[in-house]
Amino acid sequence: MKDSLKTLMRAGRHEEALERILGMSPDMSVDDLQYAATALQKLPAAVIEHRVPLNKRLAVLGGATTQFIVPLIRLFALRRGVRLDIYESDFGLYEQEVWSDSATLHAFKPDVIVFHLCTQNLALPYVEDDGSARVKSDAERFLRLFRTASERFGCAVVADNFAVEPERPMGSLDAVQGNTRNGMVRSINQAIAAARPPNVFMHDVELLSSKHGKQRWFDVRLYHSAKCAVGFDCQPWYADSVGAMVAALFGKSKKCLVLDLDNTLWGGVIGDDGLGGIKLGAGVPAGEAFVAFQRYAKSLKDRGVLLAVASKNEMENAMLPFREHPDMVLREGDISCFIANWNPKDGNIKTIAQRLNIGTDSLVFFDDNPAERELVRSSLPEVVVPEVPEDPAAYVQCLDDANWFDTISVTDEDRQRSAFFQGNLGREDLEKSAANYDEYLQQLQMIAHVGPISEENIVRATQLINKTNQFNLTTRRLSEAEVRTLIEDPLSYTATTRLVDKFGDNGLISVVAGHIDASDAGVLHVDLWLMSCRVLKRGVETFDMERLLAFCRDRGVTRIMGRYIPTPKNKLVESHYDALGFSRVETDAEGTTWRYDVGTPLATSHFISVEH
Amino acid sequence: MRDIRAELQDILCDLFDDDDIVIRDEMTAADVAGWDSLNNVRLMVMVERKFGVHFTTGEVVGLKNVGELVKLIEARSA
Repeated sequence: MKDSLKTLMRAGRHEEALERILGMSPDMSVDDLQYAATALQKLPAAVIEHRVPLNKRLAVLGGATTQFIVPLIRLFALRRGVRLDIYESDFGLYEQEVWSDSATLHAFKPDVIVFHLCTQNLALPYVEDDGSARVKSDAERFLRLFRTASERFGCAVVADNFAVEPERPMGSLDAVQGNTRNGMVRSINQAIAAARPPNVFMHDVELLSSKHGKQRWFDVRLYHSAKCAVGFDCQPWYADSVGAMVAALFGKSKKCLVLDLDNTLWGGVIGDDGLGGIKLGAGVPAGEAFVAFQRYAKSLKDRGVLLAVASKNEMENAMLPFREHPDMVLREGDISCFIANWNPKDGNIKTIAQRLNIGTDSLVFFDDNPAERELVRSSLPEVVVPEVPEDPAAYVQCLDDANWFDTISVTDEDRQRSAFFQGNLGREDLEKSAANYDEYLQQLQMIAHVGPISEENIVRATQLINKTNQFNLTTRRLSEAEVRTLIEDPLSYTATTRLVDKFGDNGLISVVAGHIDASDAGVLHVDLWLMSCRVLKRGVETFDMERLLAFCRDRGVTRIMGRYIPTPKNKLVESHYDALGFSRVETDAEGTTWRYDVGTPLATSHFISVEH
Repeated sequence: MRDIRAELQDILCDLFDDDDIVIRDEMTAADVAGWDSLNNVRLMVMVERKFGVHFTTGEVVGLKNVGELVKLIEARSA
């Protein structure tokens, strides 16, 4: 690995070197990963920028040595779609940076601050007289720090929690007594998690260190000689886990798990073995492993990850276990897009992405067959294809370790996401039976629930702002703190739309935000206009425009200025403003500017009724 | 018989990404660009892995130059 990467670097074959680097994962040798992280810093910025456009600024404030993990965080965030500029505090100055209101950190303008901490930062004795008082004061100390960091620097905070240590001078009492060091560590973690401010997210180092083994995780000698909180073998896992949280913060987590069927969801081949012959359920060890994997997938689905099926099968056979096998955990209704045919899987996967209105780069494809994996890897390199282990008992760990679906919040929309796609089947039938498109829209009986961004919907609105790629005019990403600042500004306009139709609730699907020009009260600038693709061509754009016009008339605004900033993904809305009757007034390097005079009657119409 | 010097030289070239490093007994950290205390820790970990040896916490900081490191590796892997 290292040698081939070195050859590419020396030969100046930068694009190929970058692809190699992007394909690296934390289970690879630490030496190779550290070499790749160093190589990454030597690649021309333009090459990386071209491949991974999304750029964020991350500050790592260290309670332990940060130098070894920072290059690895950069490496792993990149493969998850975020190109990071990273600021590092001087050793151990994680508190001073915040309390001194560090000018250099302000100048850096972080999008996220990572607190890289360790249990030693708590300086707990092995036993404390009054354990609960100590827990309270330490939890408050760190909560204050995290909250202040998030508020002062107007950014998200990702903070390590504290890892329980392997040694325990109190012996077995360590497990039951609240005033031992480990007892206090457990309580401090809980107290911080329970009182966590909205823009502060906990990085679960306690879990990671247990998962990888405490004695591997901590390298006492490395702590004594270099103040490293994590041993070399585990640093890649630490860094990748931070990378996954950063990806989740900026909407780069994957959205859909595409599953094969035979020997992936059950053992054997349904077409040959039949309903009674496949291995699934209690009694057969492998059968239990497949049930466990289905349970994991179902749990992903319940919190908003879409499930799809891409199987080489007759549809009738493929569907049979979902409908009739008593031990199936996944049912027909859990699968948002079900494709079973004999066509090549890369094409089927593209179809799945189209039907679900998501990019192929938000898919993870899980298939036991190495040939299918290879086909998809070579034909659709943007699809994540984990190396599925031979043993079905290891499937859950394979998916869980890779952490492609990490999330920092779960909203009602997430929980209901699959149901939206179920409703789509009914909508498709109606569209076929309706005489024309207008009649279809009328028969959908759409009702919009509208309102500004508020405490009630801020989590979902922020999520939509950060996740939406296609129907997004400016692709401006905002943290929850920034959204909160926006809604408090008296000159700002924010609008959200939740769309319900006869087939179900589509959830909060659009956000429009703008501000009245501070020096010209007659002008409103549209800063954000974005919509979930699941409600394309339903007239929501016109509906949202109507509301924007009403606001403008009410506030005496006479002119609306809109911007379209092209990205590789938002061609869909290239003519959005044109279609609404705006006229183009300017084209610059970044995009185009559009103007609408509020007095002009709206030329488009819709069939959405409103509920406030 | 392992050629400890040649293998050590490979490690240094990898670590500092410089194929032109040629080790000498009297060479010290000051002679190589980027050889700071943290890279020294990395170097020791890489040496341990490569030669299958283990150094104590004190040994790592007590070495004066490359010659002493080679001697220590020889003593441990003997």
